[in-house]
Amino acid sequence: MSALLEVTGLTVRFETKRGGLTAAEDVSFSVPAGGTLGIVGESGSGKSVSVLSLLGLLPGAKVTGTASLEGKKLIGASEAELTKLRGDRVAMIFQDPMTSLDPSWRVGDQVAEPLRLHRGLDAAAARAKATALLESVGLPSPAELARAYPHHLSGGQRQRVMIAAALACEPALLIADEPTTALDVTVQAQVMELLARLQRERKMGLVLISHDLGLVSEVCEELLVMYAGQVVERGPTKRLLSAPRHPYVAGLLASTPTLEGTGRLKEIPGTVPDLRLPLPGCRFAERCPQARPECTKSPVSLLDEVRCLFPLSPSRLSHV
Amino acid sequence: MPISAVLVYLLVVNLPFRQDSDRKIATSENDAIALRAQVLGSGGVQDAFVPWKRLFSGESVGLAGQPFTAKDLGRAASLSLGLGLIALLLALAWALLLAVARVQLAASRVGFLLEVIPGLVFGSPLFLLAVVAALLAIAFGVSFTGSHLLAAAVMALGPGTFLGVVWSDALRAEAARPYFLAALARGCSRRQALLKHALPNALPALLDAAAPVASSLLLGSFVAENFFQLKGFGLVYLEAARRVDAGVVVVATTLFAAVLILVSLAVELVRLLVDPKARDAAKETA
Amino acid sequence: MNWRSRLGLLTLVLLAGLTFGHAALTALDALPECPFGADPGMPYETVCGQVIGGLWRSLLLGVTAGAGSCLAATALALFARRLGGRFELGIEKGAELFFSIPDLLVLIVLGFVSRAVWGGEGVTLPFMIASLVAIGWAAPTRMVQNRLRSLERLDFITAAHAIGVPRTRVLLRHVLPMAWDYLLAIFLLRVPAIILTESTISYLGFGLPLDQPSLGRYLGGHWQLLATDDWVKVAPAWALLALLVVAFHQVGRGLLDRAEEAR
Repeated sequence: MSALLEVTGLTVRFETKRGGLTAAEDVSFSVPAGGTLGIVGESGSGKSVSVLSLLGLLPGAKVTGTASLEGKKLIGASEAELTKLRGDRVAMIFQDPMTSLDPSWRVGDQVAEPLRLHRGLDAAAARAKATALLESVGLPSPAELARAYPHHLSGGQRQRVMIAAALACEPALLIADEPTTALDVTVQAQVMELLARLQRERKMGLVLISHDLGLVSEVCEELLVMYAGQVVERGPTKRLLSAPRHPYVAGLLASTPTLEGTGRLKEIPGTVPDLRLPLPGCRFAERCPQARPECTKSPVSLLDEVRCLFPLSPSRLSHV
Repeated sequence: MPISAVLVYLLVVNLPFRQDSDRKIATSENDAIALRAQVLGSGGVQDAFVPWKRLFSGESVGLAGQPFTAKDLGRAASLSLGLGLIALLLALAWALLLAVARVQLAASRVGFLLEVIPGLVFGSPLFLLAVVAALLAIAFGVSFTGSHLLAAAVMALGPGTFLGVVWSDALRAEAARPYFLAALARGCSRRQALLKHALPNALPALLDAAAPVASSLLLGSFVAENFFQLKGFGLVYLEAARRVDAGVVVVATTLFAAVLILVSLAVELVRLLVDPKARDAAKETA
Repeated sequence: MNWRSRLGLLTLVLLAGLTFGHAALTALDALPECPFGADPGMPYETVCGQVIGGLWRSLLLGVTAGAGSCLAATALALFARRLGGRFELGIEKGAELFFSIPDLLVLIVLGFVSRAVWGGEGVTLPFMIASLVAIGWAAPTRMVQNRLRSLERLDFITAAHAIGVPRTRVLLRHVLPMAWDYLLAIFLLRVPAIILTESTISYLGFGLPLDQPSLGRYLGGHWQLLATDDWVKVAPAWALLALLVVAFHQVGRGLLDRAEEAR
């Protein structure tokens, strides 16, 4: 079956006054129709940049590679073509619901905006549909809420509004960029549940971006782990969690608290490298417990779903 | 501002006027006494309206040589008002041009030029800009004294540039906010997002600029009327202050204050219309 | 510091050197002949003497009035932060209210007062400086107040409060030293604004007298020459004024950027 979203060799480069910076390099992944993919990485790992660049939402970035959504070319597409896709076939929710809603627009109008832009509905019809959408994301008294301004709402409510606006045109693909990071823990769980439910009900593709491996693994069938602008490992969630092959992923797992776990959590020593500096070899080598001299010599390519010269074998996972 | 009007009055009334006779700009002893008695009353708060009463009853204020009736002042004020309106329109047009240029061309090669223009305008005293305008007029063979359009253009230069900078900075700041990105992700084109989302949110910043714009128009009217010798309210005021003509100064200062209050009141009203947060805050305090 | 600020600083040093050099040469009676000739308004003065004197007076005005208004602003802001509550709000609102009155209007009224009380064509230098301080305190007061407020939110200041260091001591010993670079930047940016305001008010006839002009007063009295063959008698004053304003602005801007970056 053909993929809903197909990305190959995506590279995003920024030219700054102090030299160039490659924020994402050779990123490839695909999402089948109705499938779920989680992209995990620390801040600055290039996960948001990769996705935003696909939709043409990074002005000033130089984007290369190929990407297609439902067979339509994304990279190299004109601004008008992308504008037509955004909010219609592919929708997006952002990290901070407090600032991602326009403060001077009524909430209902913002949910209705994609309907008016893409479906050409008149104001009344769009408003009615928006109210229904607000109800479907579990907001109480939606008709009243539609007339409120964002600053009247709580963080959780606002993120639900963002979701409602994203779903307005029944997109084939929903991209959620750290959708719960700015929310309280209890609200986080509710929003994640809502996203998972909507994904199942509407059979839409979902790309969930997060720094939280645990959160993503609950919802997504496939995982993609990024480090310093590169994909370090990808694969089905179950396999990745039980038998990670890249030392960074193993380290991430070891530093994630579990219900059964006892004892001290392990941390990964060191910090993410500066992407402006030349990085000849493996970018994780400096922090890697398994690193050998060869690791820093030449670039490591993604082989058999893992970017490591000496990947871990399942038997060596005793420390997890 | 009404307080400042009363303050100016009390200040003027209680000044120890110099009364020697060899001054170049003379207020003779008789003049000074006449001022106190007829124009300014005895100097208490209760007499703050004496100059106004005189104007309303058709009498004149001012020194013996240059009396001003309400009609004279009205004529001067209407000239200034007309100039101010033309200048405001010119300023808005210039501001829009500058703002659009700064938002659209910021990254291009002429971008730095657009930073130089504000530096040039804010970095030179206004009368020198008027001189440049006059020299240009002379170069094109136009007589510059008495030119209303040139005067309005000089008046518009400061506030227009200021507004253009504020406008483009506000638009750029709004376009960098997450909701702008969210609007793009919902399917707005860049232009739609700028017009429908960034612009309404940039309006409060523009309103904050309204008061400085009003006072810089006022400043401009002083300089331009003085330079182009237009008998507007600004020139009347300047000449009265130079002549030490207390009656006219009191009346005119009060009028200026009133205009500035009206502007700031109007700004607050408009703010309630465009900013939902301000509206809520107003409801809470009411 | 970037190259623009350095260039600005160099220009300021050169301009100051010019005035001192001129004064020294005058004292030694070794003044070379002025290439621009005599001041057409006052045949006994040379253009050089008038213009460099004007530069000196403009510098003096700008620096003293700038320092005065910034010191007043700092003192007010410190008082406001120390006393807090209604007093602080009062100063804040007062500064805002005063800020909304056009500077020029106040200066014209003050010029009028000077004429009414002491007579004469222009105002004296001390009166001018006092007037400029009187109008210049409001904007820096607001800025310094905001700066102090945000500095006081830093964790180690909260910690100092928590271990019981008296408020006044915290303000003077911990908060104020961190604000010095910002204060200096505000002062440096204040100076060109004051010089410009003074030029405009001088042009309108409420500034220094023509026999002891500032750069602005000289330009205001001689601009008519620009349309004649005698334009060279005005151009130097214009160039010096522009240099002075731009140089102060660049140095101040550079310092302000550095102060912002440091946080």
